[in-house]
Amino acid sequence: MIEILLATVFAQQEEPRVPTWKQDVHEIILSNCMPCHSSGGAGAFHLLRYEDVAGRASFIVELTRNGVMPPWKVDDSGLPVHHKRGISKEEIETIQRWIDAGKPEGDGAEIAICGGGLVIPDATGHTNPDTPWIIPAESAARWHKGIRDKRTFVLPINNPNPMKVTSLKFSTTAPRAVQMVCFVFDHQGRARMFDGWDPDEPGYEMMGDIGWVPSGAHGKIGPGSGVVSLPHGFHWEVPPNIDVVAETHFRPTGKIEQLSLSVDLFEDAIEGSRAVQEIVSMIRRIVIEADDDAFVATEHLDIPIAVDVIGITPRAGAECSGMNISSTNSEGTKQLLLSYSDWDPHYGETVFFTKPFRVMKGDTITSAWNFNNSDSNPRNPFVPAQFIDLARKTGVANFVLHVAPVQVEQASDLYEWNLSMLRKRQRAVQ
Amino acid sequence: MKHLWCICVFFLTSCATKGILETHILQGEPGEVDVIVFSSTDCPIANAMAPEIERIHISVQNAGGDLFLVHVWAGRTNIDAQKHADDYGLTMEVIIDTEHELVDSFNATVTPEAVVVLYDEDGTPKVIYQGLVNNLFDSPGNRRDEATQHYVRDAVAAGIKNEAISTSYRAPTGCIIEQKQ
Repeated sequence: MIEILLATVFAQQEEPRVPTWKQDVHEIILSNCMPCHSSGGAGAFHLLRYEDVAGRASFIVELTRNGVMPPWKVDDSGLPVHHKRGISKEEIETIQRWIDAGKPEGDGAEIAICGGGLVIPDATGHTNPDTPWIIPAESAARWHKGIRDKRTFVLPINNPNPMKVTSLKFSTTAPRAVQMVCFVFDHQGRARMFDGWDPDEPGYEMMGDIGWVPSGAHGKIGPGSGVVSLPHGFHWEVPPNIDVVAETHFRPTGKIEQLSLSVDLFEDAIEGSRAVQEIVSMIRRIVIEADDDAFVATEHLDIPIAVDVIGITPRAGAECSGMNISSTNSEGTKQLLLSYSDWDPHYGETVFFTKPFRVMKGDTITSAWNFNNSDSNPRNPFVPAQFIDLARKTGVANFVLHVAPVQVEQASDLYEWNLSMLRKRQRAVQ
Repeated sequence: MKHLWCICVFFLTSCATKGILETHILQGEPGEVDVIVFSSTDCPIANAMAPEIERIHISVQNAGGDLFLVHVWAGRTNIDAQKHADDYGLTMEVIIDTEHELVDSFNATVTPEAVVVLYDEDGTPKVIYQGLVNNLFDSPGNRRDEATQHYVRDAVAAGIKNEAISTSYRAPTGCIIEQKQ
């Protein structure tokens, strides 16, 4: 009899509670879907009220189960990173059980999810809001396929003094159409020169590379991120009157969109903060036969100066299907830094590690990019698959390593070495 | 092949919201082609195809048929649908299938999902194609720069010429239509 009673008690304890919107689901939506699915966010629809979520609950479960949402393509096998997005299996299961139970709203006060507070920037740059760029309703081929659905804009900061920039916040009038933005600080006015070629149109129809500096060298945002924020204790040295160059990748939404941009720069450098430089690992040229679904390109860099790697910005086109970068020390120990097994160029935001990774003098950085130039690559821009011969002086596939030399006085040596490597690769591959 | 049913739905025209309930019955002359596209005002996958859907509408209309855009989400009103049509340059007749009668009739599962109907010699409507509009999206989250296969466009052209269609169903990809409770 006692056994039966105990079994009944345990059975009752194991009976899972029926999830409700107010007790369970809204918290999951709040932590995983904000701030994109709210006013001014990049999400195509709001997920703020019960009706918003209940009306799309099955779609939410499918997208989260398939890893489409929240947008995050970085593999877990590399170093731990800041601001990782990911909804747990348990959370997805809770939403599914909520659906199965008839999506009960639950008891308690009315719940709606609200946005964040106001933060005042130290400097701001923007395009002219009176002359927005018109994003067409559909993707349109431009003068060469490599810059399809891209436009580069110059955002003058007009800062009278040098700045120690610790973070950059991006805003746009067309958040649902803008998929990714790659930033470069331009102190030479090069982007202004490109922009001046067609004074009647805002921005210009080229990549956002400035000289040998690839677009994204000073951060890159993607779906779900509107801020590039350096880890505590690091900053970018920015000279006076800098221009932020914003290579903007948009996805036509089916209707005409008016695009204006702005960036806010923040200075929050602590005493002893270290200036960040960019080491560029890259493949300058790829030649791939049609239907080759397993082409691999690699590069090895022997690092001449000890550096702390604080983050990495990946860059490659849609013909690339995966990439990874690792470091090998003098004892042969290999550490995977960052990996994408399902690369999508529209999701390649800058990632910063939770702890800087130290690369010692003589250690080797190895980068590998996998290309799938076949119809089995659903994002391959070359349909049907065709012979590819692509080259760019800043690289057709990159990892930009955001680093700080361990010895501050070696900063100029690191800069010169990086520049010489870029020039050497340009001469080597014609 | 499924036969179309006579269904009572709310409807409005594209340029002037009537705001009244009417009975709308799909009818066609022999050899005519109609298209039904299940959509939603805020499904990004359906919206990205809005220009293509409008192009199909024009081609169907030029051949004497109609294209009906069916909004499936219960929260939508005539005003929402009118604004959506204006924003996306859609000029076809828009139906708000509040009770999912059309959704259930055609077993529509996602937006966008297209149904191409050909009226035979005695005016009986027959579904000759259902599914993907085109291959702009391989799946949600996997989007091509531009579509390279145009399934509905091809089905309409074949229907108008009364030619056979090789594939009458292509599993659509898009925003899941939430089941009515």
